[in-house]
Amino acid sequence: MDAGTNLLYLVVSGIMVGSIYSLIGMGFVITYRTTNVFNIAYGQFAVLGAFIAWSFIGSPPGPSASLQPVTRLILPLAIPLTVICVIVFGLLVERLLFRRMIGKPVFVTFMLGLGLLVLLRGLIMLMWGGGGLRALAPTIPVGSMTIGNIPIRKELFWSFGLALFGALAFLFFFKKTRLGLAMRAIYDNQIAARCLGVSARLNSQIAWVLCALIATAGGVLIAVGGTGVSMGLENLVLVVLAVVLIGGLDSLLGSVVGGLILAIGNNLAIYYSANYIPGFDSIFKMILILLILLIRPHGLMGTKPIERV
Amino acid sequence: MTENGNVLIGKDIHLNFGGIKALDGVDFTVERGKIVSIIGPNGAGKTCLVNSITGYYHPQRGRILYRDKDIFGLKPHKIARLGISRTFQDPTTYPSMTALDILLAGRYMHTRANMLHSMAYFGRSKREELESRRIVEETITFTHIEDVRKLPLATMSYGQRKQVEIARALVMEPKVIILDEPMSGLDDSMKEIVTELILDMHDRGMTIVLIEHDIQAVMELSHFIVVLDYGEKIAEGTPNEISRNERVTEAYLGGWSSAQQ
Repeated sequence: MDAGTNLLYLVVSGIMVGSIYSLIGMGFVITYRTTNVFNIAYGQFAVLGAFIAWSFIGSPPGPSASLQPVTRLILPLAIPLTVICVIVFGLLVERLLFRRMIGKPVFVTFMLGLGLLVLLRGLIMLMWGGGGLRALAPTIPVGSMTIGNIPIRKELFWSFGLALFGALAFLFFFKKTRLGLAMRAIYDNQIAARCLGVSARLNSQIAWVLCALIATAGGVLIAVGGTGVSMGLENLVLVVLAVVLIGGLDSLLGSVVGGLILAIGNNLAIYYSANYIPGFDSIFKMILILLILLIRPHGLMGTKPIERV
Repeated sequence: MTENGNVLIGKDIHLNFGGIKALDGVDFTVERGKIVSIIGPNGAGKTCLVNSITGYYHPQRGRILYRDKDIFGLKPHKIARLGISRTFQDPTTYPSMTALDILLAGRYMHTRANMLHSMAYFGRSKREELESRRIVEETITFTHIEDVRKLPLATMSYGQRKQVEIARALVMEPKVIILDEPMSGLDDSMKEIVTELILDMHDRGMTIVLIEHDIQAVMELSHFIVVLDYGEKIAEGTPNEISRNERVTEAYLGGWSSAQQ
């Protein structure tokens, strides 16, 4: 490939990976906005979701598939079952833990999230045995394809499509539907919004179910993309933190921007620095976050609190 | 509706915070279609009473009847759905939202909360959508906030925020609207606008409960006044009776007029 095509390739694949990051970031932002919870256990949500999905979908057949779940099902059955389990999980977390946190300061909810993180980790290890890597049978088409003359992995292209659809659906929901508007009102003022006739409970339930579903979608898409299902997926929380700190903790659109900047930047940084600064990619995210926090502490699109003095 | 047309009745409401008696056996009645004011010096328990009626506080004892239904102890969103809406004293309720979005959110309970329906925009949902739009636009004109409809609340002036807050309560199409100090912090011309608004609401048949410090406005607007002091009701009556009541003049009006001098 010549230099031009190469650059194009880096950008295009960056956009596609970035779209997954954006989607995952949105899951985080939605919970933060509507329930005021900084969900530090988000990575575990993704791991748990991916393990649940694997339990129904299983590994692709072949020599590498030494580990297979007992309940391997066909996709039209496995996907709805995964969704149902994840919804139940979201509702449980909401009912048992976060409903009590309605109206509490973000620091308190953060500590609860930290507790949940440890708990979920233990729970996942207990159920699936933590160790080992489980390849996930393809839930979306895999293989290679080309756009113009740029080679792209099929699964990446499909993930991009799904993420785009998800992002548009959420934007539509929060901008145009009255339930979405009401949930935004709750974000602005949890106390006052109760007089709009919105049940704080319904809001909290929707937020946690969405959070669990999006985290699962992210975990599964990344697992299908090649990493497989393992405890390692919990590092997703680092990506999420980068995305939302760059884009702004409370902005859905910020997640989109943050995800794209992170992935495209990462691609370019790795490629162009490889010959000069080996290992630059491992610190690239951190440098980017630091820079953005220095210049715009509320993220690129986050709301800057306006106060009257 | 009760036989004597009282839409809202409170009986013997006791609200304590620890050892502090915020409300000490307060009774009140609000007649349908009337403007009823609750007045009293700072800390008299006016906002506590509003918060108790609208479910934000849970009084230890008492009864609150709304159209013969006991609403004592119900949650705020349930009470809002029954047709009682309120405004807040501090109008910076939803800083990041535009006036238009706040009003559309205010229409929440008049539409079915079904996400799929509202996303699909079909049939009944479509009609609800159009109806909501119509009411929101009407209210925007009614409350004179055309100029700020697309502005986020945080960027508006204090007075504009107060107007948006009233508009938000109005789009909920309440039967009873409780206005918590709608005029505090406003200049005379803005007070005039709010006064006109309250009279317009009255003409539309709404029942209005007004908490207000501006005695002149209260005397002009109210049909009936309830006076609180230190969590107790010290008087009630028509504006005429209240202005001649010695206890009130001593506890409140006297203090008020001497503060003005």
